[in-house]
Amino acid sequence: MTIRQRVNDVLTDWCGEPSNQIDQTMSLDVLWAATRNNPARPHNGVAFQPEGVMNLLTKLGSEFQKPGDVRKQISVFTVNSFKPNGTIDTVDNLVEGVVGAPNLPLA
Amino acid sequence: MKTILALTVLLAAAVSYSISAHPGSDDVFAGKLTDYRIKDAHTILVRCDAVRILSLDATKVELFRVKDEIVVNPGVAQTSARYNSGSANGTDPSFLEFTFSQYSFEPGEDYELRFSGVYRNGTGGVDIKFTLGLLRFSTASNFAVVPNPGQPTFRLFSRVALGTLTNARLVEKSTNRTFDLQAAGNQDDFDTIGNALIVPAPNSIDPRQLAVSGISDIFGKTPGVKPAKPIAPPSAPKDRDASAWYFNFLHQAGVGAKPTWVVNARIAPLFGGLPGGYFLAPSLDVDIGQGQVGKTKTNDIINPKIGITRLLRTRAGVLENLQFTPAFSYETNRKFDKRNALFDGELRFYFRHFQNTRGERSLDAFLRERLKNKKILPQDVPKAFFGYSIKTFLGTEIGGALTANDVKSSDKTSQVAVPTYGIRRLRPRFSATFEFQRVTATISFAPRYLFSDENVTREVDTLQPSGKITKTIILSTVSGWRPYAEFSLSYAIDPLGHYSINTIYKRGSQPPNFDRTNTVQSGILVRF
Repeated sequence: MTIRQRVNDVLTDWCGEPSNQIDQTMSLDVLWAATRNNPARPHNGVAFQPEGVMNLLTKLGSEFQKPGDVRKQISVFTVNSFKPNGTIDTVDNLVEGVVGAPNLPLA
Repeated sequence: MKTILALTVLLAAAVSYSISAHPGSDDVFAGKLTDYRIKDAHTILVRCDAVRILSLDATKVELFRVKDEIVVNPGVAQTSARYNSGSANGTDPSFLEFTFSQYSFEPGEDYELRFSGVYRNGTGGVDIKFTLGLLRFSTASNFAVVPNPGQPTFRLFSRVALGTLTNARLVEKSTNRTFDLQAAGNQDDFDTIGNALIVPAPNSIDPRQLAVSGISDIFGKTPGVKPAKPIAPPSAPKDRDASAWYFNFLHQAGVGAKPTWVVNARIAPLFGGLPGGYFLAPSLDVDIGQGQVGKTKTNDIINPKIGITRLLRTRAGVLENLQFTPAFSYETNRKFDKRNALFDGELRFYFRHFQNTRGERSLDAFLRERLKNKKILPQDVPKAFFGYSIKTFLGTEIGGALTANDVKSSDKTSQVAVPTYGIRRLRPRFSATFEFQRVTATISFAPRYLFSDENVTREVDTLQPSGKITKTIILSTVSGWRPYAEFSLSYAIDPLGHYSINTIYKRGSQPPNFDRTNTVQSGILVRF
């Protein structure tokens, strides 16, 4: 599975939107707000920053620590890595950020 | 008249023929070809956005060499390509793959790719014929130094796949710093092709001074390095909760009194990487001032904390989420004559429909309009006039005064010894924010309950036998309900909301000394 597919699967678990329906150029905060009443993953009232981002980082960390041929150190990201204080805005930015994260040793 | 009628019939017939002969015809490929990667010497991967490509059958794919960006030489290769999306219904981007098995790309050359055929953009849709899809690309493999999104570090990037990275090194010649280079992932993954991680990842590096060794592209060439593009500045946070830095400079004044200054600041960065999905959450809250207007005092609290925090998804009906934040807290005041150490545990409750901000309502309006008109942009839809957010918390403060202190009156003419004491408080907290365009109204209320008596000091005026009035400080205790509330109005000066003018009405009492406050202050609010 590609890094993009894995990131999109994490986003599905995060906000409830099916991974193949996620617009890759959409801002993550817009995605979070647009899916706030998703019946599978309701998060009305949970702000994107910092709570939504914290939850996303937890899920990303779990996914990219799994044994496999590509493992990434997600702990380099903080809530301030994301909009509005950071440079991760869209899904594409997040994928690129994960690509640029340090590799973890193969498990 | 007969001539006009005959011409009309002929025109209608021609239009009817052209429609029936070319169902769903579309001359130019509607997909937006936004990026590409050279996967190997025969294959190019192309990312296609804007239009969902469910399937594509490019019966004719031609490759041309381009010289000096304007001259297109005769075609050098031809092939065909088929693409089928993995998911029947979706919006995921398409990564089209074109392989010229009879031709090898030459390194460092510019090419033009032209393809034609039919595609479908949805289940049950008709074949849409196109006569031209076009992309110009380069097989030059020079590295660019690019920033890693979300991190203060850099990596090397090329659109041409890399060969094996055995003992690959990067040297910054001006400083003699050396780095290892690692592949960012598999070289058949569009997003990782051509990406080389710099290890250890540098926070700054001079692209003009870099040399790489031990690395080659798919053509066997060692890539050079070209300078990076500057990074765009980040935008502003929208509210206090999203702010890592929050400063409110206020003043209060009264007839016949000197104006006083007040600083209400909050520094609350979050750091990740703790086990169990927890985040390190240090914070510093300061609400202090100098002087008083008449008998009106302002708050006097300095409260550093170190804690951890985690969001828990409950999926339990109306209560959708919880946030748990246990912390160790040190509570003092401007004179540092209060020194309380506390365990501060707080739960935040996220209820359904408790938040519908202007941003969210504007987004909803945009999404509704987009269902009617796919071409509409967010800026075409009027922003919502109103939005709101309601937050509820329940916290506890358990601990005690660390030391017995001697507290002096403000004129230093009297002194009292304050013994140590225990602290057991329950702290429900509620805040609601209402947005009206650039005006924001916030009300917050914390009806704190003190289960045990806490020692505090009070200052009173004393008439001396000489006729002089001095300040006398006395020891007192507080317990039971000690509520505190604020109501603020702010007006954003800039569109991003970094700077606002605001006014706050504060009423109630706050730890550690629980002086009663009943004041209106105004000033400037800065948020980053």
